[in-house]
Amino acid sequence: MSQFSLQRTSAALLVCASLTFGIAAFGQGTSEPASQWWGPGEEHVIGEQLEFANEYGRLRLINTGDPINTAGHPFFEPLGENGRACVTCHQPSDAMSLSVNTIRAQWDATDGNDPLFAAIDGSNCPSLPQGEEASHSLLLEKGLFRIPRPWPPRAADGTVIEPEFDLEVISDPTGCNLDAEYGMFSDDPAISVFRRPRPVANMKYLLTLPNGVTPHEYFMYNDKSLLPTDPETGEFVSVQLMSDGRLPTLRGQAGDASSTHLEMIADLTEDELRQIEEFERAIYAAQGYSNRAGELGGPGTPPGLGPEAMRDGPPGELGNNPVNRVFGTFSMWLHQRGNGEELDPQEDFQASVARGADVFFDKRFFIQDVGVYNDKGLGNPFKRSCASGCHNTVLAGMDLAPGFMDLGLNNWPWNKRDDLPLFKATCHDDAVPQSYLGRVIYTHDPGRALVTGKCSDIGASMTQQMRGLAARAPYFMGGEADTLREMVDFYDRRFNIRYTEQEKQDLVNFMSVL
Amino acid sequence: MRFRTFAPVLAFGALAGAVPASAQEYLNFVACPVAQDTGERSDVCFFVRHEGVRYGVSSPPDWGNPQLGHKLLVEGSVSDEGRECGGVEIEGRASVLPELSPECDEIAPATPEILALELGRRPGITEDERAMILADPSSSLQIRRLRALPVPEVALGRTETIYFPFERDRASGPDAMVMLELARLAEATPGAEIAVRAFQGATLLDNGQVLAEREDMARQRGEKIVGILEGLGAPEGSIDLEVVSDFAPPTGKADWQGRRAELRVSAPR
Ligand code: HEC
Repeated sequence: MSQFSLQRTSAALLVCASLTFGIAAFGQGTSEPASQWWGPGEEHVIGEQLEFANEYGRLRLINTGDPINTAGHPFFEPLGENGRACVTCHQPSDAMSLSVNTIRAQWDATDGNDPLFAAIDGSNCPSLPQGEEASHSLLLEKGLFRIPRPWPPRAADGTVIEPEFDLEVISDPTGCNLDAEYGMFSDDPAISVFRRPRPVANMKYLLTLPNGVTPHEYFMYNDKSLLPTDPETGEFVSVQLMSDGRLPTLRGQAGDASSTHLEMIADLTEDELRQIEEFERAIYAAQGYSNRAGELGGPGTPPGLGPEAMRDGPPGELGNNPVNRVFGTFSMWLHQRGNGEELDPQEDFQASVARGADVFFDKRFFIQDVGVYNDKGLGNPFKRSCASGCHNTVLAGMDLAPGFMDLGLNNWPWNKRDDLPLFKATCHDDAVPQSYLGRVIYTHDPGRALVTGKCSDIGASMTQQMRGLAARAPYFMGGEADTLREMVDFYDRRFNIRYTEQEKQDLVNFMSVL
Repeated sequence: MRFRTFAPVLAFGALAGAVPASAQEYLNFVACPVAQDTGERSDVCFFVRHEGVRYGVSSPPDWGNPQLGHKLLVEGSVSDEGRECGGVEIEGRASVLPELSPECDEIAPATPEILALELGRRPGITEDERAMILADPSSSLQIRRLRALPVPEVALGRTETIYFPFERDRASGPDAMVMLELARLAEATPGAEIAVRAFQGATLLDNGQVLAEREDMARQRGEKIVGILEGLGAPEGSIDLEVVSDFAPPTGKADWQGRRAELRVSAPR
């Protein structure tokens, strides 16, 4: 029996699915279920849809464009010097991100020789001995890639931005920030931070300017400065791409990824850029089947589930209203039987998911001391729920009003990590201080401040979409939460929410079907 | 989370009996804001205690709500009968001071008296909406937008004024709408000239102290506005910025009006 159980899918889907991921599953010509890994340069056909097994069920991807043969396609071809392709870090099985399980399996399967582990950013620092596991510990344990950022920050046109703060390396477990060749004092001074790949799917939700919240299709919510513009068209762009918004367009992002992650020397051609962007805009991903709740999407199931909902849904809309509730209604799963009648295990799980959706939407807590958030006019504290506080974009769950925030994941005191570099940022006296941490901030990743140079932005990052979570642990920009449960526990601790055990489990179950 | 119980003397009933400043009397003071919990399903509101009186504080929408961790500068006059957040309403402005004040950390729990005021409630789902979703679950995904902010009317030769919180250059959403409309007007007017005058201010506090803004606030505000107008399409070279760094001596009466920018689009002379 293959790891893909298809008995519940329609005949039409079966044909299509076996055509597509059949290759991935049995590419080696054995009857053993092989890994779901798509290597650069491999041939796969992406028809209308793909399914991949994960811990909670199956992820489904939909391609709204023409069928794609990955052989020869620039997203899937190793275009650079290190043998990687975009797909190396944006795997279809992992909701177009990359789970740490996949990374681990790939290390074991190749003895660490896969281009995934390329020295440049697949190791803690390129100067470390590359054959050793320890040199790749952040990738192997937390799924983190090294992101070197110029210090002082530079604008898109290369001009230096005078930062409002000084940075000091307090601890450097990777060695890279004080490294003679790659560090802060090298000829090409850089700060190395470590971040998770973000899913490259459901892009219309990230790229569409917010509707119905005028003037925020022109202005950032935070400080009411203008949104950035697309350098090619001059149009305003949302800042939902990347954790720090440094590259606001898919083309800019692809160009940067090709030279950094792929170590490509030449520029991507116009045609390659077009193909990459077309593919990225055509692909939708969400959990399609839950081992415990059954089919996700389709008649009788909550209308916001499955990738079809993502494909058909309206991008750039606010969902924190009592009708829409961000992901639509789950009420059909809440009371499936009369009082006293026993639920079967599937109904029981579905009811838990529906309760989780309610906790997500209804349970308020004090959102307090979140930099670049509570200080943007909302007040400190702001008493809201997960959905009404931040995760309000219909079907996708990012914060619609474009803005960055410091949840406490990057900065002390809320999160202290031994495995990441620690910087001490000292803001200049004339700078506006970070609203809740002041002028001396200990941070593992200055985040947005590495783009703007602003003291008040230290540690701030962009919310992520919430789809396909089951396929892409660990979570958060620095991989803080290994599991969905740890993610819930982080919020519970950070905001002193005091979720009950049942509420926590319901939230986990809810997120596992998104 | 810092969660402190109310000291008995400050209980709601006792406060209601204290004597507030009388109507039209100006109040200018700095105090820690207190966040008032209003119940499980409603928003917090904010109040300050000043000379034994509880004053509710609210500012125009999106202007900047009070923040724990920071002191609040309150500038206003007592309104005749209005109540706000279980306290006396103040008409004017409240500004969050930028420097940290960790001692401002009080969240007042929702007492029965507060719950009875039904503060911070938002509309829930209606029975009709519930029935609609029951009949067709996919209707729960329909688009629901907030009521749009009114589009301000702007005119050639007329001055629009934007007021700022103390030591901030962040305009509110409605102010941003004004800038949008002014940029559109300038774009649509061949040869338009835009005059921006940016000011900074100072406040005379009730205790006699003068609280003056940082030196470069006027410039900071002006340059930000110019950047925004240009980014929104105001023709290059059409903007004349005047930075007014001297401030009029504060009087204690609506001093917040000193922290402003004046914007005017004119047809070519
Ligand atoms: C070595 C791993 C790696 C490779 C190879 C890679 N990426 Fe990424 N990608 C990342 C990481 C890490 C991020 C998040 C960076 C951040 O947030 O600062 C990211 C983010 C993105 C995003 C933003 C998604 C979002 O939701 O914000 C897009 C789009 C993207 N990559 C496209 C590409 C393309 C196109 C290529 C090939 C040219 C590529 N990537 C190659 C690691 C990789």
